[in-house]
Amino acid sequence: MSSSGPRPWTHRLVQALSLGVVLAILLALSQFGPAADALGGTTAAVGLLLLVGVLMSEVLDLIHLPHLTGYLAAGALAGPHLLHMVDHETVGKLSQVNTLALTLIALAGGLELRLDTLREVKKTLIRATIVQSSLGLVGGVAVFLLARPFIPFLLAVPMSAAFGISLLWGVLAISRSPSAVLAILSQTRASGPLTRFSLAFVMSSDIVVVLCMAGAMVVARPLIEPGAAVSLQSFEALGHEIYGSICVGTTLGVLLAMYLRFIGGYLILILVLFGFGFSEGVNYLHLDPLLTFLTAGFVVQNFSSSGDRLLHAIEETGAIVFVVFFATAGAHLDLPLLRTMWPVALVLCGSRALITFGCHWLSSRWANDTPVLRRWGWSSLMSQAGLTLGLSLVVERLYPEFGTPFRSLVVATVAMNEVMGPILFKMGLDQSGESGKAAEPVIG
Amino acid sequence: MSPVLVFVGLLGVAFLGGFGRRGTFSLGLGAEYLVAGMIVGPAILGLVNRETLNGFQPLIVMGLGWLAAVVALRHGTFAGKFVGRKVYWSGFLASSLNVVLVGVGAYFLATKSGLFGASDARVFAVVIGSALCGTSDGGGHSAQGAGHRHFRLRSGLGNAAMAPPLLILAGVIAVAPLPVDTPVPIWAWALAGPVLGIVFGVTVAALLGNELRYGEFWPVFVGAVLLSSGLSVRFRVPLLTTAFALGLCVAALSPLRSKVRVLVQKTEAPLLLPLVVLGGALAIWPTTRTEWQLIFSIVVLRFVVHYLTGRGLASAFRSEGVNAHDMSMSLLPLGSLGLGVAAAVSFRQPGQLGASVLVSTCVVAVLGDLLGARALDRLFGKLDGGVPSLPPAADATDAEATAPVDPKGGQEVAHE
Repeated sequence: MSSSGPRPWTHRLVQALSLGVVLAILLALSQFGPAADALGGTTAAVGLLLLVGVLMSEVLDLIHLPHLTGYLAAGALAGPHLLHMVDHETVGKLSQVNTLALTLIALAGGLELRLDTLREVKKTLIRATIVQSSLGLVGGVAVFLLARPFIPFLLAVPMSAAFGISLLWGVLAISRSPSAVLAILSQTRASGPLTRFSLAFVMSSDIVVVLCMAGAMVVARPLIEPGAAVSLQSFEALGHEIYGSICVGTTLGVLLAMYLRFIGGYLILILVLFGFGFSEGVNYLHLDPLLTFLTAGFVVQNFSSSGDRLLHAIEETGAIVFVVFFATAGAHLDLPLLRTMWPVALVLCGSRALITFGCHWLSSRWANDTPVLRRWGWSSLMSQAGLTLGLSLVVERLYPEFGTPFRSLVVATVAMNEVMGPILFKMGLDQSGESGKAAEPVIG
Repeated sequence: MSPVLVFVGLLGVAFLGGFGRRGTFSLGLGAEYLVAGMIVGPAILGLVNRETLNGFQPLIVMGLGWLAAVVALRHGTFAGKFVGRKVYWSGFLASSLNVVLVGVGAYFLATKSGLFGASDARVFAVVIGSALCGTSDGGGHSAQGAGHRHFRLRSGLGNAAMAPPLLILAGVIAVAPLPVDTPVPIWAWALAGPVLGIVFGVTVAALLGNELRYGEFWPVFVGAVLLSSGLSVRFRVPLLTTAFALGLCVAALSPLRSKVRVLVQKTEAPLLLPLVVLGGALAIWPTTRTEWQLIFSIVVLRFVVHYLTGRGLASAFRSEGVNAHDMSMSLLPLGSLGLGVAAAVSFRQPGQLGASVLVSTCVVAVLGDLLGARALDRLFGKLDGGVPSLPPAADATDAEATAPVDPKGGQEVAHE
């Protein structure tokens, strides 16, 4: 998602007109044409989300909104709740792209974690992680408990259970979105202390959140289910998962580095193989795909000389995959649900933002960060997306009695954070002067 | 077999295609991959069942649309230059003649066999003519033959032969019953595919502008191809014609056509081989003697027509010193779009019609590769040392080989 300076206004006009023409054609065809079948429907939907996503992102770029917002908006506009160009069934089918997208995101995340960068931001990273994961968690739990009178399913359970549920909510509140951060960095081609901190923090926070969720489940279970005992089995399973993921990820990283060293061609096919073939194998082994591919990327970047080449190939592939991924996420946005839950969701989102901001203020002073980082370091911590939704699904399955409304509330808040987070991060990068500082990729 | 394993296997095949291994035996289309698909498919070993294959149909539709657009982008050009005017129109007319002769013959054979009614026989004639009239444009020989005068001529003829079947395929609407109840006249419905392709092609060319940006190029081009292909399938108009029209428009209108061509060309071979494997696996073999008779009659008819057309072309280009037999035999391998047409028809017309078209095309592809590969080698001087290559300077003076098709008369510009 590179760019080399802004397009002239005439080209913007062409893009806006094209967007209008494409949408008009599709609306006209949907009026008298046959219903979309599975064969043509999926193909047309992918094409539609790609084309409209890119056009929408370019049009919104005029008011300095990130491309990611354009993709989300395109998905929401074309999706089943507004223009009905893509129906629920097709959106479900397109979710298969998520597997590939998440693999690319994890690989790219690992590739961005350079050892020298980690050493550089070590102090800031450790202190920010401690403060955000402890005070952020406590703040999230407190706000959720305070909002209890406005959350029907929380009001229906005793105080101890409410505390257990709030604990789960608190963990979700400290989760971030690596995909959003990578997409914004890819678009803005940013470089600098804010970029380095954001990458290192958001990527490592995933591991912290997974660990925190396992701990929260252990503690919350006896609170939610009276009679249930504290079981450390979750930690044992988690230990296996993390150890296995790191081992498999290291092996994949070594294999990938050898491929890059000795063969090197057709990287896109290799990435697709990773996205669909290997991620299926990783799931079969009950490992964490995110951690596995993050480790693989980290190994390629830090123990071979091919890291940047692989990163460039991921950016090329991502130019298509990320558009479909975020546009599908936009189409997934449950707008009717958001309409009913927006007051509570807004309160929870606002308080999460305030808590994150406060924690950042505290940790940046503790770490004696540079003024730029002190001022804008919070901006990358607002986005939420796939990981949060994935963890909420785990909660829903584990506690069916309140899981569905709990997950609906998560979906509503993630929808808000997913839209606002990238806007804030891009603003932070623009204001801190880091946008456009990275080297342009060679286009041949 | 699990769909994931099938997909991984297809990626492996694509990987081989990407490294230029189009065929162990240097066959044009990669007939051995087609045979491999037939063997693992439900018709023979059944390692992949039909339900799994049906799950790949959206991917096949995407692949076919993309393939047609890629082929269209390089239509009328060879190695960055326009195909000579005489070569182009000779190939175009020969291919059109092949469609007509094979189509008329197939109509006669289909009605005689009693397998199809009059309406289905007309559709069968149009689609079988379109699927079988193309020919390879050099395929795996590009590495050895580029720069050879006969390679230029033969590739130019094969390149030009890709357009007529897709244009005629658009007319299948006129002979097939309309898929939906609509007040739109048949001629307008037949034009819907090309018009859709032109609209999206113009849009893509306008959106690319004068400066190529990866972040915009891939989503815009892929998006437009997939959207137009998906809409074509939805409205039951031939998707290959739509995507081909889109590619032609981009090639004609975009100042970035050379860069676009270079970027997308890399995807053709990795995409083609998995489609060939899937095409072979999708084939449903006939169960009656009458069906086999019809298929083999059509295969023989196609080879005879192509051989005779080749003789005609050889006499038209006698001054080039082409061996008439080699030229005729070299036209027998099927072009990359032939199998695409057959696969698309098998989705649009499931049942005996689609199955007969696909099986006939598979048989032609395998036999065409076996019969034509050695002739292609001889034509390009690989086996016997043959006719010497033209010196590079001769390109500029060889009006036949390099005269541009475009009205301005200049060579294609590749300096963007």
